[in-house]
Amino acid sequence: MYTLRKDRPTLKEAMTAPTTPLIETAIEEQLDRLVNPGTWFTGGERHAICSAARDGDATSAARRAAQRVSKEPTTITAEWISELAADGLGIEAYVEVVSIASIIRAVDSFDFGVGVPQRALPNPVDGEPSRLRNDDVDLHNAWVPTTGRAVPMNVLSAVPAESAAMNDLLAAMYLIPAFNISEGPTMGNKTAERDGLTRPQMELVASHTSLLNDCFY
Amino acid sequence: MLRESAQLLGLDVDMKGVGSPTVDSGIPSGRELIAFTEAVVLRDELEVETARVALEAGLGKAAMVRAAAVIGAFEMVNRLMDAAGVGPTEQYRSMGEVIGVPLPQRFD
Repeated sequence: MYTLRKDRPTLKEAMTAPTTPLIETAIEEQLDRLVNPGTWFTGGERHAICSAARDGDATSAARRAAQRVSKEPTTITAEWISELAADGLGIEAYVEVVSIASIIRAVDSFDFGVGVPQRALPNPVDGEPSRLRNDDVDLHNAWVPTTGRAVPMNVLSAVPAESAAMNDLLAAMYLIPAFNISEGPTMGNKTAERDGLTRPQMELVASHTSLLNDCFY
Repeated sequence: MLRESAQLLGLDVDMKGVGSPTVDSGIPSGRELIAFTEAVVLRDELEVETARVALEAGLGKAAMVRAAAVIGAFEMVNRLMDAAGVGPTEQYRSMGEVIGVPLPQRFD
């Protein structure tokens, strides 16, 4: 089972680290993680889910889900998630698929933006999924169970390993998810600046990305 | 957050610039940021190089890399929220009119 690197940056280190190495490290860590055994899928299955999200075959419920999350996320309905469950993809496994498809999309969009080719996935790593459940989740304002009202930071909380990984990537690519800290590159700092990009500039990019994706959260 | 952070920096922002590339948002290099975002999200092979060069010319390479990272982060977050069925909050429901883009029917 994948565990987060022991040498991952502390909050203080992450707040002062130079950007490009921080993003690169975070992306390489995610790619490695995506082909390791997860919570409900083996490394091989996660590799296939990633490939399906990118354009690979969609011959299983998990792969169909990955492709739709990646390509047509706004067409997803609660009924369709129920159909996936009837086809063997339980809600927690669905959450893991959502995470995998969303994370690989983040990586691919970044690479397309900076002008480098799409990265190849590493070979899958053998091992068994952890099957670790989070008993502290329930249905609130989402179709998937979460710890409290669903917001981006806890939307994957039914699968804690995915939630932690996604928040790590969010911290490296956007801002550190700490609303109670009003200095440094944190979400709580309304005047944060990163690499010469001011908070309003970051928010303009974020808002326009969401608009183009037809996402109105 | 865009409006709030802009006010703190003393910027006079036209929120319609978020929804329309033809409207100047009032944010420095806003047009270049919007053009780059469109090229990346829409995977426009023809436009992305031009948009990248223009953004780098205006804000520098590090800012261009950061902008690409922010796009990546929200490509991820958008999918997470849509796939989990989390719709707009009450606070966000009023934003459609402000930015000149009404909420789609699926949120009625």
